[in-house]
Amino acid sequence: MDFQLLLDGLLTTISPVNLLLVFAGMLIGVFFGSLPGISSSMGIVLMLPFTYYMGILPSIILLVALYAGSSYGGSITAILFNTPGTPESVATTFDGYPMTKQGKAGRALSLAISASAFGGVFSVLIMLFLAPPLSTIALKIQSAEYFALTVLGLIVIASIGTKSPLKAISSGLIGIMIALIGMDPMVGVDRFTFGHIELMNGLEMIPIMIGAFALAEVLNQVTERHNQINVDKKVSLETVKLIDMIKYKWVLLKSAVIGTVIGILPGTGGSIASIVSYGEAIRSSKNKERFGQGEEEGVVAPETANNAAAGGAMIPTLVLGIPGSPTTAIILAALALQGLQPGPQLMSDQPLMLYCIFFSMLIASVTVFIGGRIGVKAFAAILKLPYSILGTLIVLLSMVGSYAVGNSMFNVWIMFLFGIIGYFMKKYHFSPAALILGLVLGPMMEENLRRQLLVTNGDYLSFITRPISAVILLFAIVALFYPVIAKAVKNRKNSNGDVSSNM
Amino acid sequence: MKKRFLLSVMIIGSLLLAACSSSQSSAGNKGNKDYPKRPIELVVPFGEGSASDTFARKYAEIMSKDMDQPLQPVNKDGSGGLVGMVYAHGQANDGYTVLEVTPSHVIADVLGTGKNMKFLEEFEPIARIQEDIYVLSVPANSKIKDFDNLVKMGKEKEISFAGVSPGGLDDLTLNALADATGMKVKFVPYGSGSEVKAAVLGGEVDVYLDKLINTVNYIKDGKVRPMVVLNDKRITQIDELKDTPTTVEKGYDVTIGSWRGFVVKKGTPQEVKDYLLEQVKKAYETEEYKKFNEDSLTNIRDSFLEPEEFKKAMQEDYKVFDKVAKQTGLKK
Repeated sequence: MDFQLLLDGLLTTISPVNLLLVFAGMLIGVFFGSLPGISSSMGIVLMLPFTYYMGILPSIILLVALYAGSSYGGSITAILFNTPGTPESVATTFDGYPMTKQGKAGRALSLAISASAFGGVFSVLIMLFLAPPLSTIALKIQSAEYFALTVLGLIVIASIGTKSPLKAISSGLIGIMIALIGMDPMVGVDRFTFGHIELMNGLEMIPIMIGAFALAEVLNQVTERHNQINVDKKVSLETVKLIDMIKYKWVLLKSAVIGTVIGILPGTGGSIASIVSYGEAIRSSKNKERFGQGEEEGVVAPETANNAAAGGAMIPTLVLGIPGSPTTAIILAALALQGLQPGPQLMSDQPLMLYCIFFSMLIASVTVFIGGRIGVKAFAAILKLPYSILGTLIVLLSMVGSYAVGNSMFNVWIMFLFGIIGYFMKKYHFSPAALILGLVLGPMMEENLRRQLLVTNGDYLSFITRPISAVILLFAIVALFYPVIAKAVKNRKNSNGDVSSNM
Repeated sequence: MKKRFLLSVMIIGSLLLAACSSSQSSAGNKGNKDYPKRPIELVVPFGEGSASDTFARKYAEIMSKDMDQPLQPVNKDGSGGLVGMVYAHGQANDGYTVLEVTPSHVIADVLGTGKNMKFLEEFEPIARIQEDIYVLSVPANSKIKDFDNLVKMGKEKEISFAGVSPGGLDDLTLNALADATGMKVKFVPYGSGSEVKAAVLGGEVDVYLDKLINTVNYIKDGKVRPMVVLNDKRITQIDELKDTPTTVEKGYDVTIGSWRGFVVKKGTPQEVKDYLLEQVKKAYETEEYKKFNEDSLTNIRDSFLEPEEFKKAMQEDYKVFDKVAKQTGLKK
């Protein structure tokens, strides 16, 4: 910590032009994030040409503010339309959209904003004070630990389709099977591609996600003609008071830690962070059955985590030159275009950069919070539009978003296909969310399992002899059998009187 | 040996072509008043933020400054560069679609992953622009002392190497080296370059194979130690690599590197190709590109090749990859 540099960083960041860039980046981020298909990485790519002539510090200030803004933007459409704007906000739909259906859109949005801001501020503080030691620890996370982490993430599947765990699990398995399409990650042979080059990289996750959530929901609304959202015309714009957030202090803190830590790991990002913290919120909650029905903690946990992941991902990027997420990989590329080579020397070559990034992300998080609270009413008011207009708009956005993913029509057809699949899954109480989780986590699980076995020459025990991996797996087992254990504990508690159990 | 011959052919060739290029280009310039009328698409067959993407964006930016119409990079990522290739092939051969290519495209031909689309037959080269050199290094605390020690250990037990994409350039390069030295190797693939770096710094694998630019900062920082450079001459431009032997010096003729160039679809009019070549050359000579090239450490090999030489070089690469792929069983 160098206070002179901290001060210089602050002064650089709040110089009028740079401050304007922070606001611009934040707004653009929220905007891109809220459009399905335009993820934070694509938003940054779109902004790249503008940074060519800006110089190193102004461009990084703009890009990290955009990064911070987009994690929040994704939640707006997730909550309002069941359309996750970015993969990171898939978990936000689980409880965010049910809240909207209950007419609590305003409350859900302001919960998301407050949680986002908390996660963002928490992780940049961690970045400023603990970056070097944390990135050293991050290197201890190898294939075995990644595998364990995906197991922990997949356990959540059992808890999301609350009506029928069996159907949720089979949805998850379908997701994993879809993820098998494409080139084998270890030996490079084709799997289920039927000779099509488009299929060699597997199916893109984003069009599937948009289809299964957004389009399926539109189909559902149109066919069911419930129009619950609009019929009563009184969308509650009631927001949440700041003091209410204190109620969620533990969820906030836990999710922020989970988000930051998972953000640091290369090859993971906000999507896994939000899923794992959602799972953790369920595990530690007293009202498990309320998750998926509009439980507020179910919005707070993933939103805190995916914003914290953005700050976390900056840590290895700056300290080691190893991007913690696909988005930070593109931020590094932007620096390379400015003639700056990513690597462990980045912090010593550009001492001011860390502080500028810190202030830029901090200011972006705080303005998202202030601006967002005012904007909540405007966003939620979109719901007052008649569904004939709203639905058409969602379908249009879904098509544009799917096309934008790979600049190809193929993805648009995939989106339509999964729209129909998602509709029927919902109708027969299968879980599209579990399908997406399988799709995200399945390939990671497979790759890391097989890589660990390759490295250790087939030693299955290595998953439990490595301490970190063993601890994560233990958590997973506890989460899986928690319902059984909880019942047993409850029974004992009942017989023993007031023995407090704290899992 | 073969590579050295190739290099001399390349140098002589480019000198010869440089001598007659001035007359060629002025002739080409006259005949194409109506090209380009609209922006030209540069298909980048890799994802945003990759080394090939960074290069293509920078080069397009420099080239566009001197052109009536801009060269616009468009990412068509997927299947190791094949999706972009198939897309470019689906466009008209009028010169409004330029494809960025790398050794991955030649490898696809070797392994037949492009199915019935043969890259070398369906596209015509404009120029090869940039070339990367591979460096082999080990984590700082590794027991392996130097390259000879590595080869000796590799003969006794399997050495694990980290890289990206099985059956891709990393895999083939490594196997070519293993074949030449008699080492037993195990290729451990990772999803991305950043995961490779994390695996190496975290000590999950024994040896790290990566491009010079990616490795050099870790060497400077003391996180990895260089073992050998896959080149014929020592890299004297970088202090930390002055004392690192090269493969050729050690008696192994493996100098595979990664290059980047531009091609257009077969049948594109000659004057269009001449115009593009001329603009590529102009951009190559700018101070801005020279600085970029220097920053990305791709200026060590003389990499610029004109169409004919580029084609020959790719055919040579094909032979090298074909041999390795057959030996390692990647190709039957």
